[in-house]
Amino acid sequence: MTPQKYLEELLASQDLSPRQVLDLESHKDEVTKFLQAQFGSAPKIKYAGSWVKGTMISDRYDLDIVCYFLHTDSRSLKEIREDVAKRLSAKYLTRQKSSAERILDLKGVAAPGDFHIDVVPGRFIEGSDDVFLHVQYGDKERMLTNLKTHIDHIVGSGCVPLIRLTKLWAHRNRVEIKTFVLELFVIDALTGSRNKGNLKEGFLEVLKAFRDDFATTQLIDPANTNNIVSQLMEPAEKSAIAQAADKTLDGIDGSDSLADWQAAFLETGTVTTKSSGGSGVASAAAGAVASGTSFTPTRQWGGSHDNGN
Amino acid sequence: MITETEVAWLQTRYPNLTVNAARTEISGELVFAAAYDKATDTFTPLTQPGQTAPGIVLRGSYEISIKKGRNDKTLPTLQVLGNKITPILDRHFYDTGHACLCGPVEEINHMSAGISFPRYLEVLVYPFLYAQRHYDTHEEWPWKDYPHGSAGALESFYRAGSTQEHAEVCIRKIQLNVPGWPRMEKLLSGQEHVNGATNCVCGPRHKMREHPAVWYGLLKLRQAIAGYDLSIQKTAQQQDESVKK
Repeated sequence: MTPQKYLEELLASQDLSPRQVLDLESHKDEVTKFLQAQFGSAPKIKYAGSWVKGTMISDRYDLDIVCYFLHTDSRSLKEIREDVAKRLSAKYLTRQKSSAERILDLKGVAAPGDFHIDVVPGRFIEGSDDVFLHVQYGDKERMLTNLKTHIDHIVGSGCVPLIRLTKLWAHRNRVEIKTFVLELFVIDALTGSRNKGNLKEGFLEVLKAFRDDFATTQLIDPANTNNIVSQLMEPAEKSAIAQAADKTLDGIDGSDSLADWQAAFLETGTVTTKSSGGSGVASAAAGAVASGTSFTPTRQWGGSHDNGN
Repeated sequence: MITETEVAWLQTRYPNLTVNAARTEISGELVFAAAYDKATDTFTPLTQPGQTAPGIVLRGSYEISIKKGRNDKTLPTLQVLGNKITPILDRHFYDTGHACLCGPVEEINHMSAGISFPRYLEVLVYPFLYAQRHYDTHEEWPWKDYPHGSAGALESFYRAGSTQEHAEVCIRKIQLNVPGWPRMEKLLSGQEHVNGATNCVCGPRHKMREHPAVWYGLLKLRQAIAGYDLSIQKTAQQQDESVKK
């Protein structure tokens, strides 16, 4: 199998199962009914996030729901936020995030372990579909955004498959990156590229951009030019991502070996067989280390106290 | 701990190591050779005649004793006998004299995957002994290690933790540090605010921003505690043990 074919099948395997889709719809339904019972029909409640952008992957996903109040609502953004938070927490186990109330205890059996639902309260600006959100980071208390602009930007980029692939790579390699940053960066990296439709070449291009340009690229929120999205991440975090990209590139750049590409997505565990080694044939004992097998050594720990053994 | 097939493999590959009748203990001299290539961060046990691999090749021999772990969640224990290595914290040994082969999350992962004895020996013991040999000759570790104690547990969770079991194990490991627990309890429960300027878990000489993997591990563990609704209260048995210590 070629790397391109492998990546196509890998992405296909990341489509949500019918059960997962049904669960998401039922969660959205439940939360919508709850919010409507609390606030009436005034707020506009709808899907947001990766569900509407088409960038969801089944390994790890969550559900984003916006709850936008009319521009005529006279309460401050903070009051709206607190009101939504208070009512949700009366029914669900919740946690405050920078601009969302996170529901932690509403999940179906088919959902990933860390599945959650983010409810994002906001208020429309008169005469537009722009929205102000209450935020809890930086020096401002509110942020201008526009869901439709975000969706159009992502969906219209032609980069959705490569965004999904990059999300999967980041998740499986435990690369900590904010999803919105990842989405905007992939689009930025592939602007003008001929490889948007080629998973293999496009993915290599994205990784090289992470390695070479991520630290210095300025990413601007398409719905709000004052929101410099790239500033949401610390230099140390960016550096860690560049290193992870570099490490993956070491294994796959210039390689058509299926095993190398599988290793990039941890499909064969952390142990990979290098072609320079021996035969690669497993030894007689089940699970033994094959001759010539190389691997990344585990970090030793200085556990200072008895481990109980 | 070791199957009959694996015993046969061991006798062929490592004739100086012997297995007791109950197959719960393996001891003897382990002669090893391995290569580590820093540029690609890859380790290769050299187990075949004439085998080569990129990187620095080190050879050594150690008297070792491997015993069955406490339960099916813990790795077999490794002790290095003789006086070639002083089994102290800075050389990655617990105060019981057992080697710390990996972080707590990695230990769970190995055990959950059903690690075989050959893999235990060549994927965990080999790198441990190689690292010791490297330290003896170069006075530095060949690859990055985790910091001691709670900071290392947090970094392990940051790098590899993703499940409720990972979080629970890390909390238990952190609770074992009796003097450090009161502050860790405040940090994990959110009673103590954390940002880059907060003193690191490793001590007041460093700030969290200097050890970002520990910092992020703490935040990730707090998130897991909230997400999985975990209790960080010590059990009655743990409290009794704390009093005794």
